Amino acid sequence: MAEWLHPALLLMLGALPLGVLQGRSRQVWQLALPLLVLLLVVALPDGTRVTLEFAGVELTPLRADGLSLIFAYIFALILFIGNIFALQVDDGAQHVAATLYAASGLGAVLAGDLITLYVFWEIMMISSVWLIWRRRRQAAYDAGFRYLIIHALGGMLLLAGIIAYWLHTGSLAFEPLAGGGPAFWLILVAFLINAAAPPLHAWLPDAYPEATVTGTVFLSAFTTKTAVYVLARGFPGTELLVWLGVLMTLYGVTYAFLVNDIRRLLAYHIVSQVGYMVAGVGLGSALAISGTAAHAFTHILYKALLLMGAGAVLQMTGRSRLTELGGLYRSMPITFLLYMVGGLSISAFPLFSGFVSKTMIIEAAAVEGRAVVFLLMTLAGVGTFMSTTLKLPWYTFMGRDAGLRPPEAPLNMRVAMGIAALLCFVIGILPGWLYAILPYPVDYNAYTASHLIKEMELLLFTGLAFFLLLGVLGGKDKLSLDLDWFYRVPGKQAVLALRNWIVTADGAARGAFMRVFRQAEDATTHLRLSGWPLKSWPTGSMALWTAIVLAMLLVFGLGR
Amino acid sequence: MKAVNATARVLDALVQRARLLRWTMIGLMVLVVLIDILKPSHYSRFPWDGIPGFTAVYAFLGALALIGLYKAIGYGLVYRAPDYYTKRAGRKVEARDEESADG
Repeated sequence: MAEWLHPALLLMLGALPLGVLQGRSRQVWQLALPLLVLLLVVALPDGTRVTLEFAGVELTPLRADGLSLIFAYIFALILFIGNIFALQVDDGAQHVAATLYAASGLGAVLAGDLITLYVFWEIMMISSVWLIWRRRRQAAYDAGFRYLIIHALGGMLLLAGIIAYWLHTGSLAFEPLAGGGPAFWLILVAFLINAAAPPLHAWLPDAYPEATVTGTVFLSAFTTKTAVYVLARGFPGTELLVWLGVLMTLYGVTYAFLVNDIRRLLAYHIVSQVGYMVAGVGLGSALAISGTAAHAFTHILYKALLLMGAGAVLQMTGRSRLTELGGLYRSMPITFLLYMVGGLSISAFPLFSGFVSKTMIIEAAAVEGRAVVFLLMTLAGVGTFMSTTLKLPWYTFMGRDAGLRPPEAPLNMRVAMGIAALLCFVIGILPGWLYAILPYPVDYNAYTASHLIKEMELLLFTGLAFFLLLGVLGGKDKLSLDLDWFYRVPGKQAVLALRNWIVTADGAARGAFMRVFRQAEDATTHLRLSGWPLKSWPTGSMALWTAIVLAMLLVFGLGR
Repeated sequence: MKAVNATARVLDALVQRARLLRWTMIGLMVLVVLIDILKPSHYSRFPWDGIPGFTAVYAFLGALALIGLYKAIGYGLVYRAPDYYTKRAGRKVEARDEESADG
């Protein structure tokens, strides 16, 4: 059945009723649809390929193999969890957008050719921006437009790359790209924009925290992870990606310290965590690619959990700045504990999911003897633990009591967080079933004595540094400029200056034309008033003009 | 609601015992480093694999370095008033309004 029913297509069609259904029936469909799609992708046999001829081009809209299936499973699963979290939201547009967004993400990872990939890639952008705009604030509209412009640019680069690839190879199959050439670079840059790799990353921490409470959860899952998938598919073993990934891990953690908004802090940690995956793709070994896929799987779960926790705080208190929060553990204890499960997972705390996936990528670097990569990734782990698991919860739920006494988050939100937390824990203690669905079979055991000791040393002594410097680590009521400054200030000024220049130049040209026109008009008026054309002409002059006309007739007549 | 209150009470009890928790953590740190010293390293891939407690020192110093780095970047380069962008946009709107009022 799965061979003729494309899961992404089913999800897209299934999204439409969400716009009209109301109340309980909408909620039931919101839960049933992702479960149906999850069943469908689980039933997809490894190795399924569906090809069809379209306008003389062979397309592969469905390719299910080890690498695409693990992403398909987690996409369907997170749509289910995210929909539970969003059950109380009475906004059909958001539900339709989230489902279309998930469907296009699913379509992109199952695409076997570049045209199908491109189509889903663009639908992903158009549907996801509504999750930002439906916050219905000026800041969200503006951030949404910036998001759209950057992704439209990425889409154009991808299309240009695909055309270049087709002209060069005559094929549209999505397979690993050979090094060099315009197609290689255009497609790589398009993928890196969606992976939020610096210097093309600023759209992510700019837009995600402006999205709706429930929208951010979906946003954190699909765009960057689709990018990780396409990088793993198209660019495994590209050395540049190792260093770009390492830069991302450190860039993300450093900026996460600088920001005051809790959802922006977590958004910077998406950049950081995707950095591990990009570096894993760059390393390119079977262990590294499997580690990347495993980390994408666990990351989607714990990052959704963290953003659900932060979103629940925003929903219940109306605040998201560290400087305005504090002491919430008494009124939102369940949210606090579930958030901490996400925090321990992202920090690779033993028994939680990040430990069994992140360490795979670091191990892959160690196996290859990449000392600097190993040390820098370990350092990023220190920063992750400090800001996500210590700083954010300390200044939100513990620390200074801000006097907020909101009710605990609604039951459906707690259930969604509970399921994500349970999965984080189950993967942490029983990694075997995650390892069983990896693209390459790996012989890797996270729970060796050496791993455990080193990880515990890392986390405990990071904690020591945090608590010793607790006094200076609180959020600052500041805005931290990032590279989006370049297009928000000088870029905008340049565009405005160009517009003003065009307006001035256009005005000057019109003015000059009108001046000449008026002069000509004045001259004719003057001529008419002078009576010169109407005066009586002497016969000699008439004879001269007649001779000239006859001479011209002769010249042109001879020319014929 | 019952579960929420019970959880809050458990957390409150833990907060009351902060001193005990602190000593437990310090004890745990000592224990982990001791195990690292006593147990010979399983790996010899990097020069530091044989140094007991290397990861602990690296994490502690790394944490301090990251904090120093972010403070330097923040105060030296990127911190602005929270309304930096909105104020800029606002100024533009005002300027435009004045312009159109003049015109």
